[in-house]
Amino acid sequence: MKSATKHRRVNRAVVPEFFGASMRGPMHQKAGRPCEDAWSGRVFVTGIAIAIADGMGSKPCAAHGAQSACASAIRGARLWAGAPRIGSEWVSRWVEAQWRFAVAPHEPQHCATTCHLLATHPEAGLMYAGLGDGMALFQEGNQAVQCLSSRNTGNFLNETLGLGVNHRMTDWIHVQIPLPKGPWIAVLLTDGIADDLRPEKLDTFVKWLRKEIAPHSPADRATALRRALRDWPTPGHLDDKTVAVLLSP
Amino acid sequence: MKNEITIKEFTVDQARPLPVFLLLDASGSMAESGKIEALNRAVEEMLATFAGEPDVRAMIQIGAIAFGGDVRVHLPLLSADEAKKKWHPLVAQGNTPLGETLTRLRVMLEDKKCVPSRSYRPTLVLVSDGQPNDEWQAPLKQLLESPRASKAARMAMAVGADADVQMLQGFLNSPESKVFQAHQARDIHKFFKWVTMSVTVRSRSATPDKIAPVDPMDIDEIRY
Repeated sequence: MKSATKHRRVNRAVVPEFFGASMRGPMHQKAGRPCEDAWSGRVFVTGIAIAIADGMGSKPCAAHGAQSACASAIRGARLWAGAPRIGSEWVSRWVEAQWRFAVAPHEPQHCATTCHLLATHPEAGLMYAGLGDGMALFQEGNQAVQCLSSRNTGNFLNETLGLGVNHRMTDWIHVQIPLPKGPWIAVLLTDGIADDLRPEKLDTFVKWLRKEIAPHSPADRATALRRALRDWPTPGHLDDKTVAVLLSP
Repeated sequence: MKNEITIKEFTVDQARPLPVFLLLDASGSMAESGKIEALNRAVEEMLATFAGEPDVRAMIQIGAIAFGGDVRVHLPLLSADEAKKKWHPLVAQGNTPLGETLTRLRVMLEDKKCVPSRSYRPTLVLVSDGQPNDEWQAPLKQLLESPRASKAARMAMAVGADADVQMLQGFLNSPESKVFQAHQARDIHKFFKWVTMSVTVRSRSATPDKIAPVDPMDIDEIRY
């Protein structure tokens, strides 16, 4: 019995690590509203996952919806990491149902939120499932940054699909790629950041995360990220901002 | 020495755009009763107000399509400052090719290089004093059904008694929105004050995408 427990213990030296931060934007600061973005990360026995969510600002329980979306997505990722053959589409269906339970007794439409999830499994690789505005990036070594969420381009700002908004299951984006043997990084961003990134400079953004943020201690990473998001330089920026990162060991 | 990467290296250095498209009738009939002069003055004043807006949340951008004889981009979509510098008065000539104008607008709106996705919802302003003399119903339907134009704020002004108010109401595509009717040249000025007020309120707002309906008939009550 004792040896079985030992066998299931996570060897943190060989699994990827995660970090992230959310920062309330000037619009919510001025209005005295909480940050309506959320993020979460978790290490499982057979994998690791990060999730972000951007609660829709016009909805009364957007912050609760975003937190519930992250919690639901992480639970879905745990199931996937235990049996990845269930597939990412099954995970997104599970997240849809689980989120409705999680926001109850509030009406889902009062809690509307985007939801993006990244999870890894040693054999199944990296899985991404995303609904609504936001961005998922992946970089292997020093190769060009790939945008996994390339279909998520709304017509204008703040018009998005999400949990609690009429949509189809086909609106979810699913990507699954093998994990490289060498170093890699995967990033989730809410549109408060994604909309202000210069498209031709995504490589520089990811390099900034690797060189300027990742080398800090785990506690200092969050502080450094929050400081950067607080001092965001784009003129007139308003939105809450969230970034979550998965980093190869 | 350590080569630090700064956030400014990968972020855009301009506020999110708030585009305003002007569709301006420059047909021959606008030469009558000082209408084209009044229109030119009103647009100039609006551009000056936009250019002088301090510390706005959104960067106001203006583009103008003139239709009179032919259809031409009189002003490409530019920041208010640049638009003010590049603006030159319209000259009234020819007929009223509205259908082609609406198609040109739709193409510009759908071009994500011209109107990027990070933009706030655009404002579309249509000014006309007469009856279109090309096929305009199908281009209007296509415009209103296009995903981007359908989400835009729309305003319309009928100049004089000969204007096709029904067509302008069709452009607004909402029973709550009303066509502003300009009976005299000075009413043109009033309409553009209303447009200016609507856009600047949004650009200063903490929620620039929120479009509050304003009745153009309340124009006398607007205070800056």
